Amino acid sequence: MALTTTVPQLISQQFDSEVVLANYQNGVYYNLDGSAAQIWLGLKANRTVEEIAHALADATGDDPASIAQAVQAFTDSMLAEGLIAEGTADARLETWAPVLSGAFVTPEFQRFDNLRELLLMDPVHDAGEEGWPLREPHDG
Amino acid sequence: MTPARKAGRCASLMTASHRIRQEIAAVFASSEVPIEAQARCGPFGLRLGFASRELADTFLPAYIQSTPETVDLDLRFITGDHHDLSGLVPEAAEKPRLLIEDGIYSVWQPAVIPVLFAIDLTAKRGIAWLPTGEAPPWIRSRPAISLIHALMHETPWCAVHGAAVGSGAGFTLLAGEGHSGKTTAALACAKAGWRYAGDDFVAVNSQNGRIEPLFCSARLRPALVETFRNFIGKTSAVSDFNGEPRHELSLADLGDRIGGGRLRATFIPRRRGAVAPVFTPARQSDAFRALLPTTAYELPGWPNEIADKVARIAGLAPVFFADTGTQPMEIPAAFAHQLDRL
Repeated sequence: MALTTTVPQLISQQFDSEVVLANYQNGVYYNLDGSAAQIWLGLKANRTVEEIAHALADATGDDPASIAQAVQAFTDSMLAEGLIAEGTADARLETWAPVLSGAFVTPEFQRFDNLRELLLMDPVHDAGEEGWPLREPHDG
Repeated sequence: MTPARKAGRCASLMTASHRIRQEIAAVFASSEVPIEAQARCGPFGLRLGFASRELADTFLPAYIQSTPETVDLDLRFITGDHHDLSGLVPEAAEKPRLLIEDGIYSVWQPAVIPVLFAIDLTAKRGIAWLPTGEAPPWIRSRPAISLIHALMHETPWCAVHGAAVGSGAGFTLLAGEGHSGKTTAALACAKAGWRYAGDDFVAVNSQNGRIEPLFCSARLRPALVETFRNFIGKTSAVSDFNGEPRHELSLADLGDRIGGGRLRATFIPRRRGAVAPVFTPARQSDAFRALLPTTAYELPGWPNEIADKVARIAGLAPVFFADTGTQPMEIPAAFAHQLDRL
C-alpha cells in the first residue's frame, strides 16, 4: 500500500530543514526536524521506506540495517498519528536526497497539543466546506 | 399543491448560494439605513450601514472611520427585527457552517449568541445578521472579520492573529496565543507614542510585509487598567464572557497614530520570569506556529491558503522570543532597541 503525505485537514509547511504539521481536526501541531523531517520529505517525494533508509544510510554512513528499522518504526508512528496516510502516493520528484549532516539520530516528532483547548473554545473552527443544508420549507 | 407550498418547494430547490445572494440583495433593496459610516479596514475601504443606533453604537467604535478612496465592501448590520433571514439558518443550526460557492461566502456562527455573516463577492455586498440583536464581545471588537478574510482570498493580504505596533525603526508583529502579552506590549507602545495597528488581528501583506490596521479596538484585562488608565475613556465598556472580563476599548482617539508600516521583526511574547524585557532568537517555524492556529481557527475557509500566507509572513523578517518582563512601560524602549539593532 502506497503512503501519502496528503492528509485531509493536515497542513504542512517546510522551513529549511524543518517541517511543521498542523492537524486542523484536533488542533495538534507537530515539529519534525533532522532525520524525522527528511523521512517525511522523502515520503512526500514519493520514495519508499526502503529508498529513504538507503538514502539516509548513504548520507550518514551509518548502519543501513538499523537505519531501515528506525525509518520503518517512525513511518509506522506517523501513520498511527495521522501525519501520513495510506492511499495514492504523492507525485514523484525526479531528484530527492536527504539533507542531513552528522550521524543518524533516531527520528521523532515533537507534539504540541496546547492548542486543543483553544480549538474547542472557538466558535467556528468546525466549519467545513461540506455545504449549507437548507431547511425544508414547512406548510403553515 | 398550494401556491405557498409550490413557492416553498421552488425555494428548497435553489442552491444555498442562490438564496443567500437573493437575501443579500433584498437587504440592500428593502429599506433606508438610518446610520451610515465609512471606514478603512486593512487595505479595503468599507461603506457601513447600521439598521439602528444601537447597532452602530455596538460596532462602530471598533472601526477606523475615514473616507476611503474606493469602496471595496458595502456592509450592512441588521437584526432579526429588521430582516427575517431565518430561512438562511442551516439545518442542524447548532453547528457552525461555512459556505463558499458561486461567489458567495457565508458563515453561520451559532455559539452562545448566533451570528450570520455573508458576502456576495461579485456585488461586493455583505451582511452581518444578528438574530437576537446581540453579538459576543469578540465579534464586537473585530466585526465581520470573516468577510474581510473572504475579500483577501486570492490576494497577498492575510488577516493575521497578532498585534502590531511601529516606530521609526519599523513595525513589529506580536504573535502568540491569548494571555501571552500581546495586548500589554501593544498598548504600552501605543502609550509611548508608537503607531498602533491592532492588538488582536492585523492585515499583513505576505509579499511585501506591509502591515495595516483592521480595527482600532483593544480588549484589556482588568489587571492592566491602572497601567493604561489614559486609554480608558467613555467607550470602555466591560464585557464579561465565560468569566473573562475585558475592558472593550476604542483607540480611535489616537487618530493618525492608528496606522501601519513595514514589518521589521516578529516578536513572540512569552512570560518566562524575566524582570526586564529579554529577546532570544527564534525560528521561522516558531513564528508560523505562533501565528497560524488562532489565525486559521478564527477565519473559516481556505486553510491551505492561510497557511501559505502565514508561512511567507513568518519568513519576511527576523523572529525573536520576547520575554516582556514585569514592567509594561519598559517594553517600548526594549522593543525600539531591538528593532534598531536589526
